[in-house]
Amino acid sequence: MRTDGSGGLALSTTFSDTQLQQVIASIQEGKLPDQLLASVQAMDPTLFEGLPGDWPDFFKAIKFMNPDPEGRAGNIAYLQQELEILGALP
Amino acid sequence: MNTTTPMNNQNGSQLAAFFVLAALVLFTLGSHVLKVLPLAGTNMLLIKSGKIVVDSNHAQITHGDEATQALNCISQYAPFKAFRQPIKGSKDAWHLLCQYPYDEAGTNVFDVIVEELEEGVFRLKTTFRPQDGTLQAIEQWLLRKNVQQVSAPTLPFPVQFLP
Repeated sequence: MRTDGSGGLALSTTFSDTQLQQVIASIQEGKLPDQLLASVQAMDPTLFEGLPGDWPDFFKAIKFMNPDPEGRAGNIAYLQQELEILGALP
Repeated sequence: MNTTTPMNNQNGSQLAAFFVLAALVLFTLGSHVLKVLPLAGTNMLLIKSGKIVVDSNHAQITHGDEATQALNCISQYAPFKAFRQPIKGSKDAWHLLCQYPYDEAGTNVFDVIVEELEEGVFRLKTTFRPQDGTLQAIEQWLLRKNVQQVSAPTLPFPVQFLP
């Protein structure tokens, strides 16, 4: 696992720890806007591999999520439940 | 005439205490078994095969990656294991495990996660190769989600991309 020297996770220079936290915060608020979803879906999934525990699969679930707006609420509910299991991102 | 005797009262109290104790033991054991062994037995709940609908944008985003491999797998081969995951405030998520190419070691396993829209129609939630792609690791991952194993459908799920 790589770190950015401040204790946070550094996935890449274009998608930071802060952005990951932004995705998590948005889901916790019951929102996953198209732009945010698209930003995760545009990522190389190998970038998630450095995350601990089941976090890589959490972000892969978003990466490969069906973007159908009609299914978004159900997908957010699924991700919120995943977050409850995972706890806080270290 | 009052037929109650001190002996009857004593027997009644012992019987009541026995039932309370038995209920406590069964409750404790039941909770433990449900937490520890949800994958041990296959529940008779059954979902039938049906088509999976996917937003056509999904194909553009994930073309050539593991999601595409997973959808190719599930559209050609029946899932070999299936699990139900209750989702708070939403429809159940169904985890359909598909393996391609097959090998005895149980690798190359994909999880196709869907929700049922109506009988025979499922909407794709997401799909990928979790963990290291081995059945053992994926079952442990599913165990952490408190899923319930159900009978696996016996037919493939054709995939339809919606405009």
